[in-house]
Parts: sequence; structure tokens; C-alpha cells
Amino acid sequence: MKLSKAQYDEIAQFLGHVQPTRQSLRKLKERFPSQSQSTLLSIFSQEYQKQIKRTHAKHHTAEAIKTYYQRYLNGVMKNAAAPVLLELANEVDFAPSLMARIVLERFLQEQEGTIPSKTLINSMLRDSSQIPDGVLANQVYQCTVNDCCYGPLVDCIKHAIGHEHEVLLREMLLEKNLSFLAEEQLRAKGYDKTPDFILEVPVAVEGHIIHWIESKASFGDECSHQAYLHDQFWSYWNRFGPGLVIYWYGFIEELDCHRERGILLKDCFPTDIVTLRHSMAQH
Amino acid sequence: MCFTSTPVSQSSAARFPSGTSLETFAAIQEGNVTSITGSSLQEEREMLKKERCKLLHQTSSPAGLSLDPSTPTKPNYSWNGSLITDSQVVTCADLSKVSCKKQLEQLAQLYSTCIAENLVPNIFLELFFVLQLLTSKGTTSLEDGENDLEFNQGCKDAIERQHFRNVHNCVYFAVQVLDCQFEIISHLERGTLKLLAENERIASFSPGLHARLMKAYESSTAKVSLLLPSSVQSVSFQPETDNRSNFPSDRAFHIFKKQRDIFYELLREWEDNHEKPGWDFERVLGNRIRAMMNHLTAAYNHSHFARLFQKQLIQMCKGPIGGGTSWGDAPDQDVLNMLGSDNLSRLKRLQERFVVPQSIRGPCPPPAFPGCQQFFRDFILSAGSYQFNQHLMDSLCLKILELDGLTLVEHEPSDGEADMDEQDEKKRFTVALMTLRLLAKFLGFLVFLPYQTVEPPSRDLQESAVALRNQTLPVLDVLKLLRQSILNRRTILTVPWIVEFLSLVDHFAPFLDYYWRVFSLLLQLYRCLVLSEDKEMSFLNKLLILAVLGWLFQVPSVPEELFFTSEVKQEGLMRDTMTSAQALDSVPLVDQQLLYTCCPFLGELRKLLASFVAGSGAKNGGFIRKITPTAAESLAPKPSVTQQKLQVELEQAFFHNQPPSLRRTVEFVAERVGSNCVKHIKATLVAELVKRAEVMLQDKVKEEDANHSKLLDEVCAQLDEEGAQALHKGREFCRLKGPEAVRVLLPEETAAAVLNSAEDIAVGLATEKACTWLSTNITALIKREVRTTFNRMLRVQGPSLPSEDAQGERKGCPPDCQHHAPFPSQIINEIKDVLCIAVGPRDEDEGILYVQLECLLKRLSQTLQCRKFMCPTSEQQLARCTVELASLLVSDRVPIQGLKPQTQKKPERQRGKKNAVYSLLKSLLLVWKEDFWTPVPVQLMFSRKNVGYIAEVEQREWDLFLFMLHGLVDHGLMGNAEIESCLHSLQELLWSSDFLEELETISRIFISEYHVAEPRTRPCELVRQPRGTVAAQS
Repeated sequence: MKLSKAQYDEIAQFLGHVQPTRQSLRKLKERFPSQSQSTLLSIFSQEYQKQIKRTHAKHHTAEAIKTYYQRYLNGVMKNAAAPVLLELANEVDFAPSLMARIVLERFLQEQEGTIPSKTLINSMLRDSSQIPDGVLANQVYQCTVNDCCYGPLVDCIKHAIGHEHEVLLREMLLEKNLSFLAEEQLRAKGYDKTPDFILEVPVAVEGHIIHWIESKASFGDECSHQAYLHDQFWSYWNRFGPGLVIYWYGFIEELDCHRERGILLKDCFPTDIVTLRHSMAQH
Repeated sequence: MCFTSTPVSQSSAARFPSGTSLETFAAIQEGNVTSITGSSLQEEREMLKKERCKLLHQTSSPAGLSLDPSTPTKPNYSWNGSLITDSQVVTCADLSKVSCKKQLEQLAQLYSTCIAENLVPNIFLELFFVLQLLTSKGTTSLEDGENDLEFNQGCKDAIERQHFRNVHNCVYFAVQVLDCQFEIISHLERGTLKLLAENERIASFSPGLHARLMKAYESSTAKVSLLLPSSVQSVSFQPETDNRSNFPSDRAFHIFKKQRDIFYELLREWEDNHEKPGWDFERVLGNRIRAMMNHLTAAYNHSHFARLFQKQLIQMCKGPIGGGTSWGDAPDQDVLNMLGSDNLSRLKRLQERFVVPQSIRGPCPPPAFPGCQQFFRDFILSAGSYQFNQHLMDSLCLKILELDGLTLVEHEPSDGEADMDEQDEKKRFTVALMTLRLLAKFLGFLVFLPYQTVEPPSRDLQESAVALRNQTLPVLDVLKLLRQSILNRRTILTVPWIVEFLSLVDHFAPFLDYYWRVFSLLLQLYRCLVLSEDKEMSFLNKLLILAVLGWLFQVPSVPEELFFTSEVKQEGLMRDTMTSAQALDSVPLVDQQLLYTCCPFLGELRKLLASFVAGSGAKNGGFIRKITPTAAESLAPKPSVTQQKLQVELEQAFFHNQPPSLRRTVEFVAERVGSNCVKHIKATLVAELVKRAEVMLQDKVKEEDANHSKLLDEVCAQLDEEGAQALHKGREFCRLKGPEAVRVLLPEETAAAVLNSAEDIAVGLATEKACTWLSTNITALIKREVRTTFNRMLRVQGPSLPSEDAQGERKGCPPDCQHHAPFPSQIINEIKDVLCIAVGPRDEDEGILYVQLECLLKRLSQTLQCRKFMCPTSEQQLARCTVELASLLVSDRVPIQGLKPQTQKKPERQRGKKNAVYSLLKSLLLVWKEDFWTPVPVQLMFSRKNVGYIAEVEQREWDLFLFMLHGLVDHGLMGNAEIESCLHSLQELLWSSDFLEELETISRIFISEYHVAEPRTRPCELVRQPRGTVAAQS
């Protein structure tokens, strides 16, 4: 679903300072019933991430970390079964999963005396059973499960959604008889940047030639689109020529401004496709 | 004596204001174009005023040059009085008012001969001058007053007499000359012809010339179409030259990946902004370019970047006029259709802009980098990288030599389709020529860049500079190439690009021994090319060469004395008497489109006329051009081993009497089939071997913590023998594919014997090519591929290889699967919501309906059965989430609502709930056993955290836990022994004493039950293979 910049801004404004909980999500759906759930969730997630990026540094000062850890210790001392970490995160407007990471990191540091490796932390966040402290394990798990924007569970869901839409797109290409090279084939050939699909024979979509298609199972807002343009879409253009990006959860209409230059945006598989006809063969 | 072009030492470059070196150099290259960009209209008006004032001063001053109106000499060929502006009234030229006709006629004769014999440095400059005379508005003084008497008095010093002081004389002279030069004029493009044909002065002064011009115009098809700017396209990524194996290290490869993107980023930024006022290339992009260059240097990636740079340059600029627009005829209907009617008026206005007097730059603009070329020039200047320049020069030289070797396919004389072939060949030639000119210009730019100066340096320095520079070798031996091209009759291709190369010389370069010889040879060639239609070279071919050479002789840094000095050493211009297949000069390759594309300044003639006349006309007529067939080149026998010698000779002989296209076809097929053969072997045999190696490695890697590189060597050694099959398979491939291709490409009517021989030769050549490559490279190739795969395998470290994924998709779904199951992401999300509520915090009345849970597990099963949308991460997450869910169920943490018997009695309610949980756990156990492909981490149920859920409950219920333990064993998910050991390790953790007691009790119960139940347990308890195998069998 394409949104105008104004429509998008309205949603973004509503999201101003919400917490990433299922309750907030419910409210959002009630406020914008005409938008699809996935679109709303995607926008929600992106807006929240922007908010976190803005305040990230604030929560990582030595002082802040110390305070958070102390508050956690005091909290669980009083009542280990209470959602101490989760409430702390909500109170200071920080993502629960990230708060869990801060406290876990600090905890391990105190225990081992050295700064724990990123891999270890990630692995413990993914599987809280590995956390050597039972209470902390529970607290961390509660945070990661309740966070709907950050954390291993959410990351996995995002990954799964991305994969599913790639499979869907592949099906559609097969159905349309468009022959393509998929990412893994391209990688095997040694391409340095690989879109999801490269068309072996280019086609025209809405009058624009395209050589490649990239599937994005998210909403295309300004921030993410700019990042994608810089890191991916222009790189594809630089190597393979013009192409098509499908934002399955919609995008801000105004961002579709590089059509002439060779980057086309759609929110669904295109219907207006013109293929090369092999008229030579008929002679 | 030369009538017009007086040698003047002053160079036009001196007219440009000096500034910092970079900018000024750019400014000089651009010339004194009154550019619209960057300067306001007001500025432009001011400049115009000054210019006019200057011109006025020149014409009125007796001191300047001896002839008046001033002759088109190099430094200031002027377009003085002839340009018509609103305020000026055109004097009506009158034949009856012409004075001293006889002298004028003689002068015209003399002048025309100079032009015809190439005694003037630039014939188009002279034509421009003539047209200036034709369109001159006339001066006020001595309008009609001069009479024969006055004239006769001054007869002695005829040269000093001012024959051109009135407009009638000017026009009379001009018309006389045009009459003599009719042949050249008739070869100009149609628009110019039209303007001449409709010129009223010609009509009134020479009805005969008028009639001929009219006829020429009406029969001309030489329409030069409006050129559209091409949009930027990227250079495509080609694995053969661009993938990792072409780089010395991973780092270099990744750095280059970034450089490519930065390069295009810069290009796009330039494209968007360079026309905006105040935008400065160096200021905005300079530092970024230099930072990028530093990275290149660090990674030794210059050659890659130089290649990309050159390819992009060709892509963007090989089109006419550097990708920008110039001027043109009425636009084609196609063009209009493309632009849409909306843009039509804009297009017209644009066209008008081209014909207004201001845009007249004269017929000899200095060398420039128009359109997109500007970007590349500025890039080189800003980069200021010696390494990059050197690599770029290497790359340019190679490409130039390659393109300069262009050969055309001769057309069979009797061929009815010669026209089509001719068009194709012409197109090929045009592309090659334009590309060559572009590359040569940039090569010249780079070669002479270190010696460029803002002002022409004083001649005092010349001697020492020349002595110094005479010692170095030229980067590209243009002299040799030029000589060869003359010898082989290929000047039509070679001279235009050499001209571009030389147009960028610095002020001293022409005085170097080497380049002096090049210039001399060019001058000699110029003098020889007298314009007429002859067998050796078509008229337009000659005209193009003369036009570009004439332009070169006017370039500011090319010294005047070159043309007028008598010391030019004559070289014997040897020309091959035999016309070889290589010869291009005799083929009519140039048409007006190409002529004007190469020499856009010829359009100045038209602009000049357009400023005098206006109107439009119809189109029809046409040129008929003949094709001149040429014989095949004689083939030199190659020395070879005695046995093969005869075969080779026979092969050569076979081609000798066949049309050359046959040879080209066979060679082409051999080349392609050979190359495809290697690709095919890579994709089939090598891929297969690599797959085998993968299996072998996978087993061995598990076996022991072996030395990886030793392991790799072992496996590769095993494959070596089979790698030898490659040659056999390669031969087979060539034998199969070669004949097919030859048959398709040769004419249907080719005799069977000829066809067979051609096929055999093609197969032989292809096989040789392929097998040579394979025999030297196959072992290394296999090893490399195996290593890559192995590394990938080690990185992934698991069975989740993409190939297996693909297999899973095919084998995985039930036979009649419609793929309508919920997406994995959906199910994960829903389980996450349940976990959320179970873990809390939650509202008082919040809970999950039993049916909802039941349904969720059913859908989970469906999702796992359909493998289409499943990926390893999704499945692993599902496994983990469901174990968490089970742990929460076992510890009675899930607030289940909507249970069927809604009674108030607590024990019954409890029992009802317990039964519901049993049923849910049963479903879970079944899903774990049947539907999961990845191992389910059921051991997590015994983790401290998950057992802790039970510990936290006040009134502990162990029934569910025990049920679970049995379920795990019964479903073959865990063995008894394993469970026992898990329970054991649990007891070692820190628990409250009462909980520890309970835990011990449970352990005991389980163990005793296990011993009783031992005969019942299945023997497969140790086998904890992925459930996938079970599922796949079922």
C-alpha cells in the first residue's frame, strides 16, 4: 500500500513516544483501521528504531549502566518474580531487549572480571537458559519475549518474513515464465553485490526496463529507503543497470522518484510487464 | 602566396584570462564559448557588447591586417559584420553595382585553386569566410561611390586596393568562389544546402548556381538528425573479469566493490548538479575523489578502476558530441514521438537557440570536452594520481590498438542484400571511429597533461625543453600507426583519432623530433588529398579527413609555421598497390551524419546562413552509393611441424578461395565453442566433482579434528583422475556443438563438402583451444573450487547448505501440498504472543483460550509440513519456542481459559486443566517427532531457567513434568540415560532444600519406572538423529 508523505507523517506522529509492547500495537491498529497490520507493524518498528537510535548513547554512558544495574539488583532483591528489567526499560524509554543486554553484559563483567565477548552475549540472549543466573535468565527472557521491535525473536521473525516473500516472488517469476538468476547462484559466480533476482532477459515494467528485482518485506520510509539506496539499490544499478524494488508492506509515494534513472518502486508484483518478443524466429 | 591565412605568431590561448592552473586549463579546453551556464544573462550581454565594440574597432582600424573585412586567420577569425541583428538593416546587394568584376573574378579563380589544391590550412575556414562575405551587411562608407576611374588609377598596386569595400563586390566574389567550390558545397548536409538554395543574393547574382543548388538540395538525403543526450548507464559486472579470483586478496576485492559504488555516486552527483550555478567540481568532489584514489593505491586496484573508468567513459561519451546536444535538422517524427508533444515546443526553442548568432563559435573551436566528457576530464584532474593516469594510459592504448585494427566483412559482389550489410558495416565503422576518437582524445590529454601551461610559454624555453623531452619514448607510436594506415589505406579510420590525440598537444610537443615528423606526415597527407571522387577514396571520406586535419592545424598549440614552413621533410607516401581486405579508404564509409558528428563545427556554416535567411522546405531525393568489392588477403603460410604442416596448408588453402566471411565465421565459431566448452565443463564435471568432494569432506571433518589443508589435498588428489575426463568431455562437446553452429551461420546453399570442411576446422580449432586451457588449468580449477566450497562449509558448519534446502523443497512437501499453510513467521509471531502472556506481565483477566492453543499447534504442524516457505532459521526458532512453550505448560504458567467443564469446584477444575495441558503436550510431542526436520532442543526443558519455573510455584505439581519425561522417551526424543543424567546435573545446582528433595524424589520415581518399563522401551533410544529422516521416510 502506497502512502502519501502526509499520511505517513500522521502515523509517525501518533507513534511519537510509544513503548514497543503488544498493548501499543493494539492501540495503533485501532487508530488506523484502514491500514494493513503488517504495514503498521513495519512502520511502528522503524519509527521505534529511529527513536532508539537517537537515545542510544544516553543509555550507554558508564553512569547510566551503573544505575540500571543497581536498580536491577535492588529490584530482584525485593521481588525476583516481578518484571524488574522490563519495567525499568519502559520507565526509561528504552527497548527491553537492549536493556537486558546492558544488564547482562554488566552482570557477566562483574562475575568474570573481564568484558564478555559479543558472541557470548548474543548466544545468551538467544537462549537465556545459558545464563548462569536463574533470576537474570528469567528477567532477560521476559524482556526479549515482550519486545516487539528488538531482540533475537523479532530478528528471526523479520528474517522469516523476508525469506517468505522472496519465495513468493520466485513463484511469481516462475509463473510469468521469466527466467532469472537467484542470489545464491549469483554469489556462487562471484558477484560482489547481489540483488534477490537478476532477470536473464530484461523486461519492461510500466514502460521502464528492469534487469533485477529486490524484495523488501518492510515498509519503505525515507530513512530505510535512503539507506537501501546507498547500500544496495544504487550498487545494483552500478553493476546491472535499472531494476525494480518491491516493498511488500508499501512505501511513501514520494520516494518513487528515480524511475527515470532506473530504480522503480512497487508495493506488489507488477502486472504491466512487457517482455522481449522473439519476432526473428517467426521469419 | 596564400590568399588568406596569414601566419600570425600570436596564439588565441593568450586571450584567456589566467587563473589557477586547474581551472584555467579547463577554461582553455572549453574555449571561449559564451556558455549559458554559470553566467547570468546580464554578464552575457556585457560580453556581447565588448565583443561588438572590439569588432567595430577592428574593422575601422587601418592598422590591423591588410585586407578588409578581416580574413579568417587563426587567432581571430571573426564573424564581424555579417551577423544580422534586429537593429541593422541589410544592404540590398546589386549585381549592377559591382566594381572591378574582372579582378574579382581573377581573385576568385586564384582563391578557389588554393582551396581546391589544399594550399590553405583549413578549407572550411575559407568557406566560412566566403559565406561571411556572401552574407555581409555592407559598410556605410563608399557604398556605391567607387567607380572604374578610381579603380584604374590604383591598378598598379592591385593588392593594396580594397576590392571588398562594398557589399556588392563581396557578394560577387563570394558567389564566384561558391560556384567553383560547388562540389564541396553539394556534399554538405541538407539544411545548409537549403539555406544556400534559398539565398536571394545567390539567386540574383548567379541564377545558374542557384539552379544547381536547388537541384542539389532537392535531391539530397543528407539529413543530419538531432542528437539526443544519452542517459547514464552503468558498466555491467562481469564475473570473468570482476569476481574475487581477479583480485590479489579479499581486501582488494572488497575495496574495489566500494570504489565502484563511490565512482557512480560521484557520477550521479555530478549529473544532478554540474549545471547548477556555483557548483564547482573540485570543491565538491575533489577530496572524495582523492580519498578514493588513496584506497586504490593501498589495494593495488588501479588497473581494475582504470578499466571501469574507461568502459564508463565509452558508454557515456562515445555518442556524438560527448553525449550532449548540438544543432540539427528538423527533428524526426520518431524523436518527436519519443519526446511527446509536450516537449515539442521546448525542442523547437532549443533548436532556435542553436541558430541565433550568439552561439556561433566559428569553424575552428579549440579542443573541448563537451557533455559528459567534462566529468571524466575533471575527475582525472582532481584525482591527480600518477598511478591512475599510468594505468589509464595503458588501458587506453590497448583499446585504441584493438579498435584501430578493425576489419570489415566484404560483401559478396552478387549479393542482393549488400545494402543491409553495407549499413551494418558502416554502423560498426562509425562506432569504432567515434570510440577511437574519444579514447585518443583522453590519451592525448593524459600524455600531454604534465606539460600543459596556462600561457603559451616563451620560445626561449623551447630549445632546452625540446632537448630534454626528445629523449623520451612516446607512449603510443602514432607515427608508426599513421605510416601503416597510409600504407594499408586505412587513413579514414586512423587519421581522425590521431588528430584527436594531437589536438591536446602542449605548446612544445609539436617541436619534438617525433611529433614534428607526425605533423609533417599529416601535412603531406593533407596536401595529397585533393578533393574529387576517385577509386581510391570516396569524396566524403576525403572531406572528413580534410576537415579534421584542417581543424587540427588551427588548434592554438599547433604552431603556424608547421603549415607554412617549406622545410617539411617529404616522406615517400607508399601505398599498397593491391587493395587488401584490410583497406578501408576505398569503402564509402563516411556520410554526412558521420562527417557532422565528427566535425560539429561544420554546422557553423549553416548557422551563419541561418542568421541571414529563414524558412523551411520539403524533403525528398536520395544518394546512390556503390559498393566496391575487394579481393581476399593473401595468406602467408605458417611454419609448423612437418606432419601437421600439410594439414595446415590445406586448411589455409581451403579458405583462400572461399569468401572471407566463411573464414571469419569458422574462426568465430571456434572461438565461441571453445570458450563455451570450458564453461560447460566447469558447470557440469567440475561442479559434480566439487559436490562429491563436499560429501567426502563433510564426513572426514566430522571424523577428526584433522589438518584442513592436508584433508583438502587428499580429497583433491582423489578427484584428479576424474578431472582428466575433462579433456575427453571437452572434445565431445566441441564435436557436438561446433558443426551445429557452423551450419546455422553459413549460407544455406553452401556446398556440402565445403560445409563439412568448415565444420571440421571449426571443431578442430575449438577443441584445441578448449583442451589447451583445460589441460593446464583443470587441476588448479578443481582445487580452487573445492577450497571455496570447503571454506563455505566450515563457515556454515551445519547441514543447512543451500543445495540441501532446494532438495528439501522438492522432497519436503506432502505430495498434494497446496502451500496454503500459514507462513512460519506468522506462527512464530503467534507463539511469541502466547509466551508473552505466559511470561507476563499481563492484565488480571488476560489469558489464552484453550481452543486457540489447540488450533495454534495444529497450524504449527501444517506449517512444518509444507516446506516451501521454511528456512533453517525459522525452523530452529520454532523448535526453540515450542520447547519454551512446553516448559511453561509443564510448570502451569500458561493462563488457559475457556476450558470445557466450567465448574466451581477446585479439584475438578484442576483436573480439567491438567487434562487440557496433557493434550497440548501430546500434540507438541507429536509435532516434535513427526514434523520437525531440525533437532528440537528438548534438553532445554532441563535448564535451570525452565525447571526454575516449577520451583517458583508454591504448590508444585510434578505430574505434568513426569508426563513430559515419559513422553520424551516414548516419542524417541530423548533416551532414558540422557534424561537421567540431565536430572542428575539439575540436582547439582543451587536450589532450596525442599525443592531439591522433590527433585530427588522425581528422579527416583522416573528411574524406577524406567527399570520396570525397560523391556517396553524401544532400542533406538540412542539414535537422536534429526527427525527429518523419520519425516522423510513417512
